[in-house]
Amino acid sequence: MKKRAQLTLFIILGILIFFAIVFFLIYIRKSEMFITQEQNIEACFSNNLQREIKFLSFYAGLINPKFNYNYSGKIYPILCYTEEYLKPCVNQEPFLKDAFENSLKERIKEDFEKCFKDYADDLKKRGFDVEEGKISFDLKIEPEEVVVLINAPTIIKKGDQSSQIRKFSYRYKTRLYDVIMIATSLIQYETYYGDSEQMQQMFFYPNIKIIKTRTENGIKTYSIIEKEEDIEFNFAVRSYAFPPGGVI
Amino acid sequence: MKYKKFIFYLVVSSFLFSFISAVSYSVPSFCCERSKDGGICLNLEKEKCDLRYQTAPTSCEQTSFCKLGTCYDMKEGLCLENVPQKVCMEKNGSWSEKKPSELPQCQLGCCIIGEQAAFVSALRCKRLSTYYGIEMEYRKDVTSESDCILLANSQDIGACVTFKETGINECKLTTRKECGAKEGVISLNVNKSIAESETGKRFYPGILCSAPELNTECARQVKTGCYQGKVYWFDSCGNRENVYSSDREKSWNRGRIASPDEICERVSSNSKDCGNCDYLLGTTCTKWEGVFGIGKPTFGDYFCKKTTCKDLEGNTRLNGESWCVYDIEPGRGYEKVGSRHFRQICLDGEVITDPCEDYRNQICVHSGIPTTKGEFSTAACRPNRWADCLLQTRKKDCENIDKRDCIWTNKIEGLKLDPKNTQSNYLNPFNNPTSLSNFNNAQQAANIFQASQLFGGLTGRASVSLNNGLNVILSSGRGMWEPDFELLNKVTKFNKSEEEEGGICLPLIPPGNKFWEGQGSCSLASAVCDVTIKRIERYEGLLAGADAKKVYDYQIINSDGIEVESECLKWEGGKAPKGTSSKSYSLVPNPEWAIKANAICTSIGDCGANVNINNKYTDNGYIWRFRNSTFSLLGNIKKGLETKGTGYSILESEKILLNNNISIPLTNFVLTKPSENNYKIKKAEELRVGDVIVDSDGEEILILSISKSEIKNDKPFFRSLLEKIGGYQGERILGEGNSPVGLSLGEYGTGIKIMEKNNE
Repeated sequence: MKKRAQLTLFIILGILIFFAIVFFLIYIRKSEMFITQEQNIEACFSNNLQREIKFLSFYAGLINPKFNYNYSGKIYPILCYTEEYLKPCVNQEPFLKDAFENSLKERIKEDFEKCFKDYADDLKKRGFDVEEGKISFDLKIEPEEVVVLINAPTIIKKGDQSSQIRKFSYRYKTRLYDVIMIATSLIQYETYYGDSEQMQQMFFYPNIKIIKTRTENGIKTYSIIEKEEDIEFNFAVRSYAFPPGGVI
Repeated sequence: MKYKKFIFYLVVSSFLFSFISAVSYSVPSFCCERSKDGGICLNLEKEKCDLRYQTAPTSCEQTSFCKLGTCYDMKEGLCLENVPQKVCMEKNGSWSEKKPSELPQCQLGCCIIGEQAAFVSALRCKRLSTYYGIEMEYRKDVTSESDCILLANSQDIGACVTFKETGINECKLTTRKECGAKEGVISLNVNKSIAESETGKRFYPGILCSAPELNTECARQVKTGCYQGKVYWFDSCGNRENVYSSDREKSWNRGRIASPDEICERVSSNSKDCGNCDYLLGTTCTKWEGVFGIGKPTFGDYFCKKTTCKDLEGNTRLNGESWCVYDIEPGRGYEKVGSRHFRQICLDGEVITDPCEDYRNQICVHSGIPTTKGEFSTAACRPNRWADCLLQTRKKDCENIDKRDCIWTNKIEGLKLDPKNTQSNYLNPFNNPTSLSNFNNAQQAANIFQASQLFGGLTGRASVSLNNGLNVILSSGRGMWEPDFELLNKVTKFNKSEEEEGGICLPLIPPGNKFWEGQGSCSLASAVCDVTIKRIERYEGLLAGADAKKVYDYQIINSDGIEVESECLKWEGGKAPKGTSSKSYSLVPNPEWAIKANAICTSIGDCGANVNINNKYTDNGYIWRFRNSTFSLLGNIKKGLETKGTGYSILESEKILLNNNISIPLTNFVLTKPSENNYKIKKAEELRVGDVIVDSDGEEILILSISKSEIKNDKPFFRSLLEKIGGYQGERILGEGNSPVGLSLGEYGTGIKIMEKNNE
């Protein structure tokens, strides 16, 4: 009886080991494929944009925001503020999309140049002559995408044949535009009414989750979360704050 | 007849502490172009300004460098309010001192782009149209967002077919406007393809691109996907078809567009066969991500998923539902110190708590949207409109729920209120002595009022549009919460008054305040009870003479000299001395009056004697004096027991001993339970053997014996009752409309827990 139990155990273990090996092989293969894709310049752009969009969103698209509110260990840039009670907030960053574009451009500049350099190096390794010019970028946040316009005057030669790259664009799929516009809208509500109704926004944008927290002294923190892309856009406001007890 | 007037003062006031006057709080008096911490154009104290930038000893509205106005973003077509001129100009915006509503470029209209609509400015519409590459239609004549949405929904949708020589046509499901082609007619002769008779481009309203008559390249029902929260079939060209159903023929509807309800019933639970999800029933289109095909939709990868949450009481809440949570049931003119209103939201299976503004500056209101499966609860935090309660002198104004959140109740004798000061401060917060502020009180009040309306007019819904064209539809949980004045008349801490005159208007939900910093309106309320005693000298006996005996009658009189009863003082023994030979008399302060006065204090704010959120009772905010003695609501003299005068303190009043171990002053109140679920308060002196009283632990005690007692200070029985205010001991109460369990201060504003509202 004891031996049969042991045998069963060994069989089960054998099956588990078999599946583990199969899983491991599949995983390794997938990783190798991924590494191959990584060589692609587009993948390089995409990874950098994804990382920087996430990073900047955390600070409302601002690099090192000075005017901020520290709450529960998080830094929330203050986008609309008044120190007074029962007064509308003063919009601190009216062109939020422009600010985000500028920050993103600044943050990805070096990474994009590196992507391009790696690409050129790869070509060189494969026996191409590559003449690289000065690379410049422009970037636009649009609905459903971030468009990066790249001016990279490059001549690629091999033997008698040559081809020239000048301007091209890279489109990165993201809902960042929606997130920024929702933030702009929440600030407009705060400026006018001193509050906002986040449920309505979440109803219209099912992929968006908005967490509003009323903290001390009338300061509210907002976190706009794009669930699929895992973007978290944080900011704080203070508008039409009520004095405790209603008397100033 | 001779009489003398004696005037006594009994003072009850919601005093705070002696350090009140020493406390000062910051008043912004400078406009800083830049604050030290990087803020732009803020009214601050001078020390907070970054002196490398401009400053002025006035409010920013008065300066040239920090003028606030509307900034027009010409690229995005957005109008942004309250933006400093300099900031706007630096970023190439167009700035104006005017409000958005006064600027032509900020006027809103209906922007129709394809099947979608947005209530936005013309330039914003143009921008959106460019982004999406779809021709726009802008309607200035549409003046509300709801009309705009209706307009978008009423558009003709159909197949826009571009006929090809090959006979295989291209097709896009779109609106008539976007298609921009003449309407085509489908031949009744089903054997004859319309492609044989049409050329160019035609619009076929109500027809799907996969309809065989159109001879298109689009094959029907290739995949499923989400659209407006429902699951739809999509053809091979990517055009949306009808709502998903595993009965493919029914869903396809012979190539005709059908409303979702025609395909299958709205789904209220996970469904793999019908895509007619309904947000209000808790279902929404979601991508299936299970394993081994468990729960996989019959076709495609999308299905109606039901997401629910459990609230604090264990009730199931649908995704998107919001409801109120209170520390104490609201609307009784009573709150614990530190209590707050909360809104909770069920979002993707998670309950998110959204606290309303602290100090009860906001209250949570809720309502329900009727659905086939019951109510869909929605809640909102909105301003507590208590600020002008004390100014109201008429019941109908006081209880005008469209304007304020107040209750009308009886005044107490000697009550003194000074609400006007508070009101002016409340509405004019910019307290800058150097300012020539153009602050407009009316506008401010209008804004606050408008905000109040937006964030939960207590009844119905509010719909407001802003520049970006978003629509706010707020309603309020399960069962509309609104003050129930009928109920309040029965169960409230006050005796509700029907008198237009002589009543007092108090906040329905008392605001909180930083009383420990000396802030708040507590000092507004005090009561000084003037009592005039008339001593009538007369002689007893048949004839005035040597046999006649000089006696005195005592009366409490009003200003007209008529005998009245005083609320604040009582004759010892309950009756005015008549025919007494003594020139002195005994008056005792009436605890009922003091408790009523305290109830008013606690209604004005975190004032008076009250319990806090941890059910701890303190009476530091309350002083009750009679002559030189100071009394406690708990029935003991607190301090200043220098003289007894001719009055008696409560300490000296007789006590009774219940069951030989509970000693209570005769004048104190206790909670009794005459029958199941029926609680009443009684004076200790009214207790009888056989009565059941409830102690602070909720334990019921049957009175078996009552005897007189002169026991020293004993177990603080009444104090423990006070600590029971709220009864829930820290649990939160879910706002469910008419809760069967109510909490009230009872008639006198002290800690009474009642179980049934009608019995109070």
